[in-house]
Amino acid sequence: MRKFLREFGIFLLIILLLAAVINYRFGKHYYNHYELQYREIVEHKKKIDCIILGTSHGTHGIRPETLDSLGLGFYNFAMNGSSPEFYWNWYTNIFAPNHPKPKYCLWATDWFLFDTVWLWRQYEQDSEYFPDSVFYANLKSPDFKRQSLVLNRIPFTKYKSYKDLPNLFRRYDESQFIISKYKDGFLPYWPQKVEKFKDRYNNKLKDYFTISTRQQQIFEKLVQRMKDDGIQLIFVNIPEYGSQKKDYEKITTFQYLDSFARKNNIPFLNYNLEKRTAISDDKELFADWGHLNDKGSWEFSMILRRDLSSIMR
Amino acid sequence: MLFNSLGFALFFPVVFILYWFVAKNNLKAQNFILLISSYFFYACWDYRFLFLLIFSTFLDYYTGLKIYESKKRNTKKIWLLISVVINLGFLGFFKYYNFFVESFAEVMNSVGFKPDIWTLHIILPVGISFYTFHGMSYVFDIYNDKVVPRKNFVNYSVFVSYFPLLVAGPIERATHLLPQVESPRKFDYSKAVDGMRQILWGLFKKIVIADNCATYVNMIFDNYQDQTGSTLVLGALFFAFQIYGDFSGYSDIALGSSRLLGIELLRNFSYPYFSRDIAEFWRRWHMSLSSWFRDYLYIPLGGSKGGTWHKVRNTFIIFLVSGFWHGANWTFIAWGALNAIYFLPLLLSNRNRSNMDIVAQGKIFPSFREAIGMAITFGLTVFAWIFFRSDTVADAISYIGRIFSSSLLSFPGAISSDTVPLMICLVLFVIIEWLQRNKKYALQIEGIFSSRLIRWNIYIALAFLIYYVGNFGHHAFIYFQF
Repeated sequence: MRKFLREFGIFLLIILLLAAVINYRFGKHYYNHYELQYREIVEHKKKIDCIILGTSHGTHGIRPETLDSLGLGFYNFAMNGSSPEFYWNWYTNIFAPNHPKPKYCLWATDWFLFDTVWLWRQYEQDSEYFPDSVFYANLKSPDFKRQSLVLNRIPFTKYKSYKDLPNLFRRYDESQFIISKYKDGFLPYWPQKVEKFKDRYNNKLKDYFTISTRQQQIFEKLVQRMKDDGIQLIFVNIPEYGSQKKDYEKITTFQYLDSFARKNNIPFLNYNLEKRTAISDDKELFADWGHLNDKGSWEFSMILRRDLSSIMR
Repeated sequence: MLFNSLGFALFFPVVFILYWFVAKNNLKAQNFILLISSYFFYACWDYRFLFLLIFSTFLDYYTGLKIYESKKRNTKKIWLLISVVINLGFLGFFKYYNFFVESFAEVMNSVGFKPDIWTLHIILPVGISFYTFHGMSYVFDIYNDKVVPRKNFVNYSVFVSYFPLLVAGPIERATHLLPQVESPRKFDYSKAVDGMRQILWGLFKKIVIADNCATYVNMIFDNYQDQTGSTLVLGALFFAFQIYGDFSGYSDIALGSSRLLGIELLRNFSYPYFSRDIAEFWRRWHMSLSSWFRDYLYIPLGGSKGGTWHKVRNTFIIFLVSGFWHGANWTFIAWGALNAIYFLPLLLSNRNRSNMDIVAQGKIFPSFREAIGMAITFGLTVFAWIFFRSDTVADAISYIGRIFSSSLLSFPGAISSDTVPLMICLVLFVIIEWLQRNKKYALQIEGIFSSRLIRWNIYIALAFLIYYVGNFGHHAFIYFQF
């Protein structure tokens, strides 16, 4: 029996050791600006007057640094694939309990804002990046799947697809983002990686999206919650390449957002419709049809700063 | 509590420690721990049916004693009948009541009557088919003077409720398991290592092979109307691997767990897809059920003795009952009938026992004749599985009809880059099983690799393969529903 237990113990130890090495490698492999975004919420390194929410179009399109010259502090909390439901959880469980209320919220509202396939991000999936205090507080909450929070917290259990395995032997692929230019939640999109995609400027995708009424309801609930917290909202639609104004006019999400914004007295800056600029026709400013590149984000942020100056007085 | 769940991973070590360290060499204490842990294991599914299990155990315990005590053959028969009627009565009620009521209503409808049918929302108690058959075999064996009834209720209860086999077999015999329950057990290092290895292989079969195949099988069978002929063939092939990986994987984990507790269970699978004819397949597939039906149904009916009519009748009875045992659906009966049709020509031409040895023994490759035999048998089995997996017989026929279309030669739609790891694992699995077909299970490698370093590397690689390629979607074992 002793021999069996000893050998079984050694076997388990080897497995655990290998798992720890893999855990370390995966933890190091993924450059996670998300972690920095989450950390800012609890560490308050910057005085934030305006939070920026949205999807990857927002992460790579709006530079807080450029907007800061308005005399307010901006921070980009936009994350790829994040839906209204995700932000409801983010706001009520992380931001509101841990951060002073900002004056403004700039929400980059895309036409796929209510599409749950486009916006895939689940709150629990981000537990890897949560500060410890947030993670443990969330573990106690009945609103979240505890198992999911734990499994996503540990790189070994989070990246458990065989597709992740080659990353064990690779250096971090820096061809997608310009990490050196990360600032206040903004991360420029580097086109080297997307250049491989033949149809990256083909802006046809907006013909195929769905609207989830559940996401719409959560969106309205979150807007109301922020208003109740004294936060002024501003909706912005970031320029896209490859379509004409008339293509956007028929998008039902915009019709809804337009009417919702008017009803709630929320400014809506739509840079694909009424506020369309020359940026939308300049391929050089885009990494692909939906993401501004480094140069494009700078040009767009300058225009946004100008337009915000009349709103944020 | 699934064998492939965190719950079992915590439960089993606790039982192991209590069994070997707390009870030590005290047989009574060991059996008591086994019984309590078995009841706990069962209660994790649904505690309400624990009472049914205990009642069923007591019924066979008591009727067994009564049969033995009775001097007259007729009294013995009456007690046997009481046991059989009540056992089958419970099984019939929980498993078949709605089926019979609905089938009756359908027949009535077809002749113009519209009876008010009264179906019930009955939850099928998990493992009922298995523990009922355990108990019945005990009573039959007492009636046939093969076994003396046990007075120790705990020992007998362990025989019926032993958790490694409680919910999906193997269907044990009193002659095999009871003496082990009653004998002192000593920890055996080599058996324990062997048990661990078999558990590892069972987990691979279940989590990597069966559960990954299940994803495609469900997708294809649930939407078979929209699939190409080639995709439907792939769906049937995947199901063949799913059910084998699932059930034999379960059996491997059961046998391995039991071996760690010093108890050997009956072998349930012996590389059935390498069979050269259907008769051989049935000697290698779900062996404990096949032998149960052979001993308690087929032989009492006269077996293959007597005239052609008797042989045909008995073959059909055993296969139809075997099909029906799986569930209250015509699809299982059709599956059983199909297997009877496959089997009959072999029986009638006295060739049903011509392939008793291991195929291509001592050789790496089979002969051309053996390869053809295996291919045909596998093809026939896969064809029959379509009935087993379909929701209705009409669906199965429609599924088969759609296979034979012009799209049969197209590239299967279900195959993508995501399927590649599963395909690689399936090929590896078949190769390993083929090379190890003379062993009790395919990971029995201690005789092949004398170096511990190599063996351990294989175990570690397999553990990580399970982790990275496995499907951890918590798919219940298919045979739990039977």
